[in-house]
Amino acid sequence: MNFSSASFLFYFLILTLALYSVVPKKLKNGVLLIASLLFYFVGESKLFWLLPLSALFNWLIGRFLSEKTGKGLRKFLLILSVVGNVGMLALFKYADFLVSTLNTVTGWQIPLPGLALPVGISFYTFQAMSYTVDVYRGQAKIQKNPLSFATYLCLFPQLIAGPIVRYSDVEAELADRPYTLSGLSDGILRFTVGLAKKVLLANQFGEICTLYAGSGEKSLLFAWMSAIAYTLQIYFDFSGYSDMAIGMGKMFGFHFPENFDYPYISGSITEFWRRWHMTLSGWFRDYVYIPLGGNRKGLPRQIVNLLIVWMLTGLWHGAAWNFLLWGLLYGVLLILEKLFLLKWVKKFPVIGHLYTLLFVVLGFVLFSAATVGEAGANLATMFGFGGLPLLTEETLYYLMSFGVLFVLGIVGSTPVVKKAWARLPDGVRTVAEPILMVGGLAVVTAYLVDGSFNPFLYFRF
Amino acid sequence: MSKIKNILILSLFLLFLGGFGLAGILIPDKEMSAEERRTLEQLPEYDSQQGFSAYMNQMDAYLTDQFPLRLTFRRLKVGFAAYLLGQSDVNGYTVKNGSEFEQIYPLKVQNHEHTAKVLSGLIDSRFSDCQVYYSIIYDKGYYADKGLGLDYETLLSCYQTALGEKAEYIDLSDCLTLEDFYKTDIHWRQECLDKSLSRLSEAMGFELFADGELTEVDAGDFYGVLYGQAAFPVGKDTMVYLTNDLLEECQVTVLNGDTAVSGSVYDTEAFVNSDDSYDLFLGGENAVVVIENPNATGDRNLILFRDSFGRSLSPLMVKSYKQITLVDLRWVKTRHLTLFEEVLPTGENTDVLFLYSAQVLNSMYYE
Repeated sequence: MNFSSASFLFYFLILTLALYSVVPKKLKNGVLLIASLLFYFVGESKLFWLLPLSALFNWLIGRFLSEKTGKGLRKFLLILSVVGNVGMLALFKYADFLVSTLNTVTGWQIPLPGLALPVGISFYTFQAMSYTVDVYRGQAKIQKNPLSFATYLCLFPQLIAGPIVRYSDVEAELADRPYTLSGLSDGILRFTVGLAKKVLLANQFGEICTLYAGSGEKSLLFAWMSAIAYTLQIYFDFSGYSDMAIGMGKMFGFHFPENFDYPYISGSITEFWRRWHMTLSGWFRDYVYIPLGGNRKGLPRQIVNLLIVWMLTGLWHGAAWNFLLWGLLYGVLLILEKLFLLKWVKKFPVIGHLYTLLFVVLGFVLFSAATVGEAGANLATMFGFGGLPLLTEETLYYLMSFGVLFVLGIVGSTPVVKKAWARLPDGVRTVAEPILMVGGLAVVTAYLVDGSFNPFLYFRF
Repeated sequence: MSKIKNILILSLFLLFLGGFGLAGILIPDKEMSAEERRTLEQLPEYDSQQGFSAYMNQMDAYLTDQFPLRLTFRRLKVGFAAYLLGQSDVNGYTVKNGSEFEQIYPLKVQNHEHTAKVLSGLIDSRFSDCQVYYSIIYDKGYYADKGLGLDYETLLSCYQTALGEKAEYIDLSDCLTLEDFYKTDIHWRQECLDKSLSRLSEAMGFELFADGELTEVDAGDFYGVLYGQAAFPVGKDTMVYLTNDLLEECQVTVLNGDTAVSGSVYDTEAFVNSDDSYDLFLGGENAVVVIENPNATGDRNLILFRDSFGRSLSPLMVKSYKQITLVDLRWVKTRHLTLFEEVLPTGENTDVLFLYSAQVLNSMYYE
């Protein structure tokens, strides 16, 4: 089920909210768990069983990781948890990639397993590992109640596309959380903003990419338009989803971590990754980079650690060479920035900003391609090696047609709107918020009714 | 104040989502959308082989198709996209001077080349001894001169190359304006075809009705195909048709396969009852229609290969033809024309006109 689908908005969410509000406090987690399992079953009926299995497996690991357990056994349980979770991810997400790579290298002809990728597996396995590792480290308490742990892992607002909520983020709220009118109201507003980002902006930028892909009159300018449109699409798509998740979390009394902080205003790649998919980069920092030694073991080791982390970050997004290269691209840029580039771009912030945006856009061309070859062809086209004219009548038409959308998207990806909103008098905001919310819901509904099914980009990761 | 705002936000949220959700359950499902001219999704049946995820996708398609106030919401979307976001078109449709049109783009050269070959073959096999003409009706967007449009130069060259000297081209492009089309439909208005008829008459030599010979009849309100599909707030059209005693005395026969039924030049029942009120003209889409004119001022025959545009034009060409046979190649393949030999005369006494709208030609692959 998709957050921007009619079945979710007009039935599932409303019924879940209604039920949640009427049951006594001790049953609220139960309502959320049942709703979450139903939500997941609807989206992933074939491999549904993996989620409760993962919850049970990680809860059991945690249960045995008590302080009374011997050090050796604790370590064994931790390794078991990592192997179990990563193994599950490897099996379902990377098996085909690994086998085909092996076949290419060796010339063997091992048949591809062809396993389907369970929805949200990359997110919930990382969340599960955050629990077992934190318990092992003593940074989180053991959750004795399996239903509470299952509620955490299966929580539908962030189950399938993040943010990656660590157990420690919501540990206290799982046991006791306020259910307030202001929380509901804040959550509704945040949810509506996210919904509007997805439906009114991301989907429309996606339309430009589709038009480019199907165009018979491609041009250099159209290629750049498409690349920039994709860059804006993925931001509004993913940050919109995160807003919806955070908003729904608030409706149910949870406070999920922020996932985006206007990444396109960054002056360097280092800053970009502090603002983009923050829960993922934070996860890799705390559970991979630092345990590998981080920057504590000298520069050469730090460089190796960075390359490992960014290779994994790339692969987390997809089991294909273009994702690996995308991750490594950032790894190399971050290393260069650590060595010398960051100091230089800080001296020339405008250049730094342009350089960051350029590599972000080019990175997403690599990211969005089906193969490395396709990415290479697309990049070559953008730099004039595709034999395309500079512009065509069609390009100009679409540039004019989507001009306002581009302006809205570019402005909307900066804090300008947020700052302007904050400057408005309280009275104006108080009156405007409900009006804008209903207006936003109406226009979103209009787009849903008119449009076709349009899943979120990050569902595939 | 803050508490009131919070209550308001919560109430409005629940009311909007819950209200439309409930209305969606309570309001009976429709089978058809008359405005969009399409069948609507019905409550899907669960198919265990397809799985629950596929079922939910079907369910979402059903829910949005049956959504309360669907057309109103679609108009809201169109208004938001066109007027607030400034998009030049919405779903490929746009509006100029209060007239909706579909953007016909890009040119499908292969379709035109193929159709041109089919027509050329038809002339060679059946009509080599007839006077053969062809004409292209430019799409509405050409006259709106807005947005992306067809490359007519290339389009025409496809036909000129294939037909060469076999047929004479009659250029109607400057005979029409945007106002000569219905504002909610792709078709031209019958009462606005004077220039086009004159051009055809000059080239083909048939006689036109003189001024005052035809009476305008107001058939009623007309909601064209673009009314619900494009969903711009442009209002309705009025359909007018031109008639006189000669036309009323014409005998119309509709041939579909083995069946032959009587029809009429203007089918006012179809105007009221059909999904498409444009079916007023010759009763709607049929493979072959024969108009016999017992009061013809001449003795020639016309075979008109046409699409729906020809249905409204042909009555105004009938004065001097004793028989007009309209053939729609969308409903009958060229190899099956032998079934209609009796109504497809050949020889020097027969004119043949291929009259097609560019919009239909661009989307069709004739056989």
